[in-house]
Amino acid sequence: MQYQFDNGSRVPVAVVHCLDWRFVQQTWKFITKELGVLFFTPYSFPGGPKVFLDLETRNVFLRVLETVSIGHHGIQQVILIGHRDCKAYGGSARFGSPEEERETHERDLRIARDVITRKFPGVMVDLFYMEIVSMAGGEGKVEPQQVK
Amino acid sequence: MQYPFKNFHHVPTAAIYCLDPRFRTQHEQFISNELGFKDFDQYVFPGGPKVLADEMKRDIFLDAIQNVSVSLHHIEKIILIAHRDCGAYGGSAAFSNPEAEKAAQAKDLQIARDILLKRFPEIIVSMFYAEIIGENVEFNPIE
Repeated sequence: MQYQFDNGSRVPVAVVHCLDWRFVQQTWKFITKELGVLFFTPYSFPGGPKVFLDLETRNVFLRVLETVSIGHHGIQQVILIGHRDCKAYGGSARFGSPEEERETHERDLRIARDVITRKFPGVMVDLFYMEIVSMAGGEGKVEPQQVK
Repeated sequence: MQYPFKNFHHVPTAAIYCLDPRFRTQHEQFISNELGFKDFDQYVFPGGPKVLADEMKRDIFLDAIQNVSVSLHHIEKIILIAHRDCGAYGGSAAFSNPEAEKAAQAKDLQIARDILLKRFPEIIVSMFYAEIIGENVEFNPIE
């Protein structure tokens, strides 16, 4: 089977998100349909933006952002997306309350943004958190919410 | 806007491929439509499987696969996909001809497979090469 190939030279947006498949399809729909970003490079790794906090992964991801996304693709925007019940944080069960979990993720998203903008001052970084807004019987709804 | 959500944790497959935006949707269509895996852990990084051939980056990914895909999601299979004109290799221009390019990437795929099988001997590893054919992309298996 063959798939249509678009060898366009448009500048993509870099998106860093967790590989948790419960959230991936919604993340892509959000990026393409709500944000209108059709051409993007997904950095998909456990914990998503958390890679910029952990010393072991931070340098690796900053390096590829520099060489590939900025140096090769010429990106000007990075979108960081965290999510509720992220296993890279031990899941929701690790936190004392939903508020504590949310605050931890928001704090880490801002730290990740600071790490990126300190290294690449010309790059705009937007933050979002995928919130589970309803859940019953294993099914529910998620909503991407902007973090300032 | 809200999106439907299903709370499941068993994901049978992981895939490692490059983040090149020209191939993004084709990778997903291939894995979902041709290979039949609707849900899969996707490790997307410049160069895709090449990251496992890189001693400086390898352990980060092996540990993530161990901790998330194997221990938490109980995967049974890992799909490795390389592609033509990969920027992580310097693009097609870095090679003298298309055969040399494909051979270099196939070699790295085999290195990546061997490293995965050494660490996770119970996992099945499949390898593919995304080839540009005119205005289309075709995924061909690598032995």
